[in-house]
Amino acid sequence: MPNASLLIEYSRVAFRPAVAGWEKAQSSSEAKQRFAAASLIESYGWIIVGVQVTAFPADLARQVMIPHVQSIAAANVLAERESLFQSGLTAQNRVQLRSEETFPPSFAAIYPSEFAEFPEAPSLFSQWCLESLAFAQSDGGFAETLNFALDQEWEVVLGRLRDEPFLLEVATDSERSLFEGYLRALLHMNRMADLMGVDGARTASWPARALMRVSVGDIHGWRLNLTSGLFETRFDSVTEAVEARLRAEATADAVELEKNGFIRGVRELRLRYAEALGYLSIEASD
Amino acid sequence: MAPPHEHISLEGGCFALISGLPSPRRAVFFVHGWGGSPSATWHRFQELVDDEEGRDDVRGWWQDADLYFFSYESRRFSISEHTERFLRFLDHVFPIRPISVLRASDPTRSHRYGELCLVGHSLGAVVLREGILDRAALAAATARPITKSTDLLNGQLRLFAPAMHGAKPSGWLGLAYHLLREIREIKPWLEAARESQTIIRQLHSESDKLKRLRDDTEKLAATTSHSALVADVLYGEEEHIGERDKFRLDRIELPMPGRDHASVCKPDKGYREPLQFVMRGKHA
Repeated sequence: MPNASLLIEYSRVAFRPAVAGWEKAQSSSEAKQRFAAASLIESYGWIIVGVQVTAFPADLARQVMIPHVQSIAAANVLAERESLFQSGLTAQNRVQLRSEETFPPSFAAIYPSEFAEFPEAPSLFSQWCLESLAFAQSDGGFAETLNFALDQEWEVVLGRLRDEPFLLEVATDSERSLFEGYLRALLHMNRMADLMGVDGARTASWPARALMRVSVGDIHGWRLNLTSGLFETRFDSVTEAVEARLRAEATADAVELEKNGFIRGVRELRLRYAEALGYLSIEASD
Repeated sequence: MAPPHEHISLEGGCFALISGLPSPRRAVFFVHGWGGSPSATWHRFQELVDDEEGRDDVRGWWQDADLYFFSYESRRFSISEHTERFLRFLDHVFPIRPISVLRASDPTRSHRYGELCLVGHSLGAVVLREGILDRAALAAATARPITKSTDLLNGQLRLFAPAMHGAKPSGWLGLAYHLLREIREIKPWLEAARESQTIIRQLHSESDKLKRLRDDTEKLAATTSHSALVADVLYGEEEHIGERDKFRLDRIELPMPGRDHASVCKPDKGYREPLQFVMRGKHA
């Protein structure tokens, strides 16, 4: 049964702000435009997949999207030109946006046998959607910074993380904590991996789960893009800096934490997350 | 309209905002929490107390107040040591505001306050309650001579996200522990750091320190009329550090939507509730 209230809430807190962010970014830097484009295309993608798994009612989704089709199309052009997404997502969007049909066929229509064994698809999708939304709202600019910050800006941010004393509270609302954003990224990776895993799930549901998680990986994976050299390098730098700060604080309290223990744990978490989202080549980056 | 407050730096990183009125009615003391600071924790309180866009009654209340922002090294030392330092600070400027604090040449600005308001955030709430309990115990010990001021017992106590009921660890390690302990790949590494900080041990909800603080405060609040033994308490709906609770006679306000442990005590142009909560307490 499609969930109208979830779509209304998603539109209010994610989709419409993403449209507004895209429109506002037109007068901003290229980096801001890339981030805004990726955010909007992701929001568009969640609505598409939500309709495909019948988590969102198609009629209402159409009403939500139609007024903003031009913005979505423009953001998709930029996302395609800059290769912000993988697996041909933006090319599919381009075709879809030109089509008379607002949405592709449902998963149940394309993969009838798989989804016949998976009636819980809408509720599982809702959990994934809400978790991704929670991360996008709480990452403190982590995804934007690691994916799009210019090298010069990045050096400043990383230097601050390494050298400045940590305050739980920041002085102004505009200051962002890379440290907390990083912790929330790890938390999100763990939750998504758990939600997408098949522990305790019926074997018959596995094929449909795999199809769904690949679709979600295509639209959401850019935020923690562990297949991108730039993101991965920066992510590793943050991991090393955070371990160093945590060990230093423990040492001040006469507690010795194992060197590289945190880095190793994060690497294992990355593997689990990458497998959950359908990445296969993560080991190559170790 | 009264002139705006005058900023005066005090020893040890503390500072005051002295009212533009010659004889302000009240003194308001702010005590920050773990890892906070007098400027960051109370961010924008300092400017909004003089904001002309605010309601007249609220602005009038704040203009009739001297504000004292206490600073202490929250990551070091124990709660008892923080408390002792705070009481010395308070005794220095309350109930009589000395000229030396103002560093002003006008002797008429030295005067006796008529009201006191104590405002704490997180660990700062524990420090305040410990200080109040300390002086309440002195006042109750009638067989002994009272050598220290007990004027603070008649003050109003306003607490934002108090850590009186235990708090999850904070700071670099604490935040990491709090957020990451559910991750199986990282948990074993973090476990080694769990008990590394003195202050964190004290803030565990089961600590003897907090139990004694609660029991003794509730007992005295029930048998005496000291107003400072009963607090008005406010949490954010998204509190993620402390346990949301109160002592038996405390008055707890409904949680603030969209506010968490750090933001609940930071007013802005669209969130003036902290100013009103300090002024009036519950149901501000």
